[in-house]
Amino acid sequence: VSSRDINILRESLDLVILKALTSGPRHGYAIAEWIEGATGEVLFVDEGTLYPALHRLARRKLVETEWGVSDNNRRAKFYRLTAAGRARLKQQAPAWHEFVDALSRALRSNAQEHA
Amino acid sequence: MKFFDGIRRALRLPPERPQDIEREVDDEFAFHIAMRESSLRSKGLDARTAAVEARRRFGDAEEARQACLDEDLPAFRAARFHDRLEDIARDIRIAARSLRRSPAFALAAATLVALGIGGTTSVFSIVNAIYFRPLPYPKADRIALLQASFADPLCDRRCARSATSAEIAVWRKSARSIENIGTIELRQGPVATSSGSMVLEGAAIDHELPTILGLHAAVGRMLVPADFTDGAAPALVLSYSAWLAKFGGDSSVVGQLATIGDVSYRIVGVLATESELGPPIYSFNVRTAEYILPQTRWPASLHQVIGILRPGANVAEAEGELTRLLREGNGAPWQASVRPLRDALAERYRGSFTMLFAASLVVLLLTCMNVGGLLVARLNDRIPELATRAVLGATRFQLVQQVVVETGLLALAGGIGGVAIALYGTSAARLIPLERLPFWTPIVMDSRVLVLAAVLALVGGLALSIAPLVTLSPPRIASELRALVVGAPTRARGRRIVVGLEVAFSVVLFGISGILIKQLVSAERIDLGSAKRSVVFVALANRGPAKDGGWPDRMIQGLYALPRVHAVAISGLAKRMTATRERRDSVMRAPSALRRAAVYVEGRPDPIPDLLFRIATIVTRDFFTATGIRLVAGRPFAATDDARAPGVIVINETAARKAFGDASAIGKRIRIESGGTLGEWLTIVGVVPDQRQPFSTHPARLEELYRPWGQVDAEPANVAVRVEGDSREIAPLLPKAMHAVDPSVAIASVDPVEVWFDRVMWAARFTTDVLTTFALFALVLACLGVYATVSYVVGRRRREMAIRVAMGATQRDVISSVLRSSITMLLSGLGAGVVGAIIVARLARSMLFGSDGLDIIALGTAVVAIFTAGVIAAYLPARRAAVADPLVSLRAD
Repeated sequence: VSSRDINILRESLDLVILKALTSGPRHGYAIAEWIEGATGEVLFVDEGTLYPALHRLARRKLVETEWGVSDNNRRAKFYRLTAAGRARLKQQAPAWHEFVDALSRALRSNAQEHA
Repeated sequence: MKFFDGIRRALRLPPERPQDIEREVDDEFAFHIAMRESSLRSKGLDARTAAVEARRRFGDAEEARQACLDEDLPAFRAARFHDRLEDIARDIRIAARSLRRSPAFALAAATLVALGIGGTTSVFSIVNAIYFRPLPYPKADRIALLQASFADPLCDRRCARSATSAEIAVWRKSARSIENIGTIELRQGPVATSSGSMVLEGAAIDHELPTILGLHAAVGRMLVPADFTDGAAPALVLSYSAWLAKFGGDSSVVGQLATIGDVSYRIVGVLATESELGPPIYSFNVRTAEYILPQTRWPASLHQVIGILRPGANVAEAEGELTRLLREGNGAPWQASVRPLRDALAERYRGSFTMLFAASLVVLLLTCMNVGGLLVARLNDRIPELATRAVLGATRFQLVQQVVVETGLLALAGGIGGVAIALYGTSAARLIPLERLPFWTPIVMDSRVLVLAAVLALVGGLALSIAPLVTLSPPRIASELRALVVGAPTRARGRRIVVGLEVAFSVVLFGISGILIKQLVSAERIDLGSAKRSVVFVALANRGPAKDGGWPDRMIQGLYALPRVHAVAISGLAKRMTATRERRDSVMRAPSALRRAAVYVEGRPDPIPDLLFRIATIVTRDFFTATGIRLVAGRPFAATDDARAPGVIVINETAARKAFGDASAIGKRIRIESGGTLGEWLTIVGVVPDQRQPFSTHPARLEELYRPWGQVDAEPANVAVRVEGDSREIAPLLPKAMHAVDPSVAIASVDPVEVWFDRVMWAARFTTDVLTTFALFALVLACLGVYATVSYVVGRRRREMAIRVAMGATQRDVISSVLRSSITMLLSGLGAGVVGAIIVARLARSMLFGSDGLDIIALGTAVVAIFTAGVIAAYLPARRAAVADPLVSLRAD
């Protein structure tokens, strides 16, 4: 069992980030905004924890980076989904759907039924 | 540095250092927080609250930062390593291109490296094979030569003699530090076999020696203890090399009979190659003993005693114990000496080894210097280019890297050539006649030596080539760039210093090799005189019936009858000395106090102090002509120097100097008191040079004296025949002619002097050959180096010369101006070099035994050769530049 499989939270964050980039390159702040909007701010406590995940994805070449200029004309580092990142998202998403369904069924069920 | 970072960011250059990565993370975080702040403000928060809230929402920035860096830095380092490899690949491409642009430089540098590495490796390999290969005997490290010795001024250090059978018996019985003792002695003379009669030289050994040395047979069997018992059937074992050379390696020879004197021996086997017997076990005239046979009677005197130490016993202990036993036996102040084989070996070759080693180092140094000089000259011209790169952001490390890569490329090419030369050099060493080499040494290229030489040559060259880069400080860069913009910089002074130093060092180094060679050549010359190529020595065996008084004349007459014989002489010892073997042995073994002769000069009451004569050599009239010993004063013996005439004597220079100082010895009269009797007055008629031994570590020379045959009753020992032409052709005819005169004459050996010379002098001769090759090599190297550097330096003045031609200077003006400055440069270098060589010669005189100092001819040759090479090197490029279209030349820069 690799560390990737057991670290559900980290893995889920990665997946959300990749999802956030499907509509085009974004800088870190824009990704944080998107995630907040999409998940109702439940996914991470601190915004700062987004960045180690981004850098990890960059190292794995799932995203690539480039310094550019933001909407308000400031210098910002942009992240773009790579082909590998897109493939990863496509491959992992169905598994996550199953996992989340299974987990929620389990949590909703009555424990005594199976005893 | 802030400024450069700004430029890098402005140009969006990729990060170069870890700090850049950290800064990027900080920038990214700062952007996020700023964006959050402005978003919060737009929702109505005041600036201060917004700032605090933005930071709170971001969380622990320091932890996030560290986590990001943990992700980024390893990847960055890996990428940077990859980039560095790419840099090196690019540097290799640049270097290859720049070398292609200056093929002459590349070729010269690579050739120098190849010659240096190849030559040094060859010599080191040969030296290593000869001097460091252990002897082939299994317990060689415990084997030692045992002797009894006695301190005496007559001998170099101590007079040594072989231990007697009684002494050996005591040692064998009582010495605890010695495991076993064996003896070996020479046997020479004709051997008759079914394949004919031949003169062979062998060894008679005792029954212990085969065990001590671990001797074994390759074919048939080795001598066994039963062969040494009285009444055993006589058995003999051939050496492997004699079996190949004399019997064609035919194994059917085993079982045949060989008759030596009046005994027929059965050939029972052939010694294995690693069991051959040669120096320092025993010095034969041939390379190794050609056969061994059991020693049946006690040897006369010239045997060698070989002992094997008990494991763990040390030499000093053994010496002490043997000495004690020796003195208990006869009470005389004899001292036992125990010389381990490796020490005996080292002593034998020490002189020549030192020289070869010195010569190899000289050539290696020359290589380093020449390569270094060339690299420095080239680098000096590339400083503007390097300065430009430095300004464009290259670190000093990157500049050094580029230089190192270029040097490395040259080294690679040179190294390949070096290996080829080393392979050729060591295979050429195999052409050295076998008898000149110790018997156990195969010569193969020594790869460790090759690597060592390559590393030394390159590290030296590289260190020299990188040195100028260290001086590439920011102000220097600035001035170089200014020079680049304003016009062609003149670094003439720097270049001149490089060339001057190189020339000077080459001369000094060549001077050293000259000293070494002169040392050897002079040893050779003194020993052999001009007779070297045309004398045959016939040694008589001391057997057979006594010879009557008319024998020498009859023999000389008989030999003069042969064609092309120019002079014949016989030498011997006074009959008084050879009357009986016992007497001779007792004289030979006596402490030399007994042999000492007092010499009185006419008109002085006391004997000459410190004048000691060895036993006189009694010679017939033409002795000096026949042997080629040239008199330095006076006359040789004449027919009138007979028994009726007043006594005459010829002495050597050392004796003359001791007796008469600088005054002439000719005509003076001396008389010799020996064995208690005072001889008659003898008139000195001639003085001959000292017969100096090569590589003698002892400065004192021995006195010698010669007396005419007619005045002293003597026993013939040697016949010298001087011939016209090659003595090797006439040598085979001599025994027959001698037998025609006296059928009973026993001939021990017939040696054309060059063969004899080879036998006696192989080590010195070999060293001389190698050194001569080395010196020539060093000279070629020095000339090449100077040529390359000068022509390179002059070639770089092309632009200046072109400008001068364009301004209207004639070709002649340009060439002569270049030549003038080059000659000044060469002469100052040569001058410094000669001064340096003289200083080194002074030092060498005290360090090298008997060094005669600087060889003017060798040094002169070097100076002329280097000067010529330098002038040609200056002339050719100058002429090219002067003749070329100036515009073309100018555009080339």
